[in-house]
Amino acid sequence: MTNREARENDSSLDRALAAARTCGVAGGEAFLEDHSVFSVSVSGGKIENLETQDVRGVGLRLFDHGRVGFTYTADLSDQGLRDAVDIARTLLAHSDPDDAHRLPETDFSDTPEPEIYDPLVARVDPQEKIRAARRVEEAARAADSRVTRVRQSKYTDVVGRVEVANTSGLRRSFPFSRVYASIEVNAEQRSELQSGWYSDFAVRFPSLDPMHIGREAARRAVQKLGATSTATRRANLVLDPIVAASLLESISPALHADNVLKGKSVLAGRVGRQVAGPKVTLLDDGRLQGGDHSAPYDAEGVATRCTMLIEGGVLKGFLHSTYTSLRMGAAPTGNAFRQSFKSPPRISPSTLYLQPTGTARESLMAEAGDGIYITEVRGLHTIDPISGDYSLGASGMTIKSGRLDAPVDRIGIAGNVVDLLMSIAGVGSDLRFMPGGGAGSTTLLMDIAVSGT
Amino acid sequence: MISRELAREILQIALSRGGDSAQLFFERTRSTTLRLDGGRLDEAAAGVDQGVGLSLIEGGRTMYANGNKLDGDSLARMAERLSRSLTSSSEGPRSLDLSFKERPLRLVSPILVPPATVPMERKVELLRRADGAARAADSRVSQVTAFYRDTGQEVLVAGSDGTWASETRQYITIFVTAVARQGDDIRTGSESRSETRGFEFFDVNLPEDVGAEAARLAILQVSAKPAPAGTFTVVLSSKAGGTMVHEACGHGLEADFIEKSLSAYAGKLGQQVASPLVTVVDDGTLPNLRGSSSMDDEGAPTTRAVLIEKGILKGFLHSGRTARMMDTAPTGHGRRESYGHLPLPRMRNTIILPGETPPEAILASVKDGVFVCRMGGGEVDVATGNFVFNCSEAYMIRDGRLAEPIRDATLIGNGPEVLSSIDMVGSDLGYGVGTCGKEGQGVPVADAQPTLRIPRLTVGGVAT
Repeated sequence: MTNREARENDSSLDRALAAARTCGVAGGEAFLEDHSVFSVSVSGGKIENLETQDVRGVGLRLFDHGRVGFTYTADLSDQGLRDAVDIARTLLAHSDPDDAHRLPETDFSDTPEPEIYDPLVARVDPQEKIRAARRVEEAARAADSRVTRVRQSKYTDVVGRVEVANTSGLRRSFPFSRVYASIEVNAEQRSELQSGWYSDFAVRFPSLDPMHIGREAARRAVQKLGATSTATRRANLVLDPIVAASLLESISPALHADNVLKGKSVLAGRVGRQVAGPKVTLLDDGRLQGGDHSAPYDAEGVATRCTMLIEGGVLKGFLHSTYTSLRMGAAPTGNAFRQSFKSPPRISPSTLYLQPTGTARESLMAEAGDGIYITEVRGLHTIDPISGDYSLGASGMTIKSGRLDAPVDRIGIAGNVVDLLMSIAGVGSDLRFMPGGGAGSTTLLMDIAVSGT
Repeated sequence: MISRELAREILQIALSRGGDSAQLFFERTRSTTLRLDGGRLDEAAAGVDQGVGLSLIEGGRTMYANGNKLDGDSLARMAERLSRSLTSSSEGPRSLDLSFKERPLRLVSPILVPPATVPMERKVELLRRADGAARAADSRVSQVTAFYRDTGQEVLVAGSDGTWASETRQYITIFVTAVARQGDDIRTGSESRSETRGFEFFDVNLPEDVGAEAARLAILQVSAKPAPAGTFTVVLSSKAGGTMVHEACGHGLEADFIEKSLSAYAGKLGQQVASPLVTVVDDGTLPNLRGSSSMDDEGAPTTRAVLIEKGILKGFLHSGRTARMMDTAPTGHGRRESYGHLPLPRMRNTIILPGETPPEAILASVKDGVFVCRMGGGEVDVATGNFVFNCSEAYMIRDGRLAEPIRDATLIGNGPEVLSSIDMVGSDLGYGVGTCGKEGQGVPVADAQPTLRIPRLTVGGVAT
């Protein structure tokens, strides 16, 4: 971003806040998002798509005696901002008042801010970025002769800035950068096709490892060749770090304080009680170095921090926005985020992860005995955060006497997430950060219902 | 949104260093979202998003620039940058002799009452009615969330091939989730209705009915037994909507997967890929359905695409790019979530056409099995066709009759295998709605199917 563009942003934020100040309501908050994206996808070494994006927009919240109205606009002209204020005032008038709808005060954190910005990303030659996408593909194809097709090898970077300011005097802004690469490949053996996907990210361009991404996707596709289903039974499961991370992410709504307040969480009313195995410590850390969602402040300008959610299996607390922390009388956690300027702040985790229990992956496999190593799950979005019930499709490898044996597919795993948390018997030391937030380690689950043929 | 003169100038700049064609996509979208939770309007959001996407095509590759600065200078800079991204610039500046031809479009979804003209209090009132009906349905209903959204999307496509096409799409949605509590057991039921229609949508889709249906499903869940795990004969009721056809075959027939041989259906055109009882179409021209519109996001008119006819694979879903690469006509399925995304081949309204067997006869034919009345979300691995979807209302079948309700059932199977194994097709037809995700883009879709019998399917439950 050039200095001129940064000044334009300051002025957009100030004009939005000024419009909010003069419209006759008690308070206002303006959030500005400004980012540029570069992405390229290749197949067979050739560029398929090359995309650039420059998006700017403002989200505006007005507050008045417990009422709140939210609007957004991509039209940052004076007229566009005035129209936005009018819309927010109309919505505010129809909203139901609640004392806890208030602006956050400026707070501070002792934890150092995570490093999430490298100005050099914007200056990397596009040809270098295209080469990165090609190297991912080459590595996948070279890894195994059975890798016959590449759906897409993609490189993406995002460089931008988030700013938030409110009429109580809070003002926060920070720049960020991320580079991502991903690939999906097909492996073929006789007439059987299997797909494998992998993705990774970094804050700086040189930290991305294209070769690793390609090889890992190839390994995941090839490993599935020859898969059969398995008998319906109860089994010990070892979750791949990616699966563990996405499963945690899917059950995180049960930890969001707004769901708890509304009685929509299976964990509501269980603080201080055992909700997971004694080896389970669950943390959410917004300032963790390496997390894709790590940032110094949330989308209300509240400082992010490390929040202990489950300690030794005992539920300690929830993730909060300013509203829920006021309503529940809890300390703020800095977990109000926005998908874009078009969304009001909503509670979501920063980096949610299980603290490793100091066990190596091999020991977890040995402990599983005759079980199943799960490398993929399908249908995660169907988990019910209220009842906690889940029923997923899965694939992976059988484990025989602690060793990987044969590929399995089209199996179902089902149960309740609280039982699942209770069944966690070990968390490996191989913590991996996921693109799109979250983190996971190899995780051992005891005695889970598995359905097959 | 843009004058023809400016559009011509921008396309000219984009093509000044070579490239086969260029296209501008303008969008201005206004949306209002209201959420009534526990009887309180706890989220009210409305706003405007606008932007432009400019694509430059050279052979098999697409260069795409997009953003939301719409003034002439910003657009010219965007076009200039895009033209420089051609790796092998061939020709020098070439003059574009371009006269736009307005594309005549058939109006697919007429709008009587634009939601933007309806006062906010009437929209809130709808949610209060839905909420009241859900609470009144049963004393065990403990929580109700009612959600309203209207979205008006104005789009304009201007292409270097002379395309000039525009339309306004109006989406309207009501969605209710009810939570029922019985002792320690808490269960959820949801009902969603959505169309491309104006506010008159609510003349037919009464909020009370939507609320009561969500409550009924939640109550059914608290009284249901855990689903069994194992393999069963499964009857999919027409009431289940079309999640199965969407997941089990629709995605695999999107031409971008076919083009790269990534789909289980690749290379099988003209071959038997499903039971002779099965005919599948994807029709973007059905009035007011959620996946309908007059044109796609590349200005191509929507069509009724025949995908599978009596079990034989007949065709695929195309975007402009896949149609060009596979040397066939576009089908009007090039869709994008917004100006920020490249168009991809996507489903609209995917339908298994009705057969001749009365649905009662299908149920009566099963001695032991599972009857699926409502489906929730699903997911498919396109390469293998392996899919999973969950059931929000299902019953055991014993001796040809519905027995006890079961919960948390997931159907796990393989698309091509399931479609080939279908041995009874009902004479009825039921619709469902959803938002389909692919490569990070969500687009509104509908789907439909008659009552179907699948002789063997894995049910993923907990009871053994």
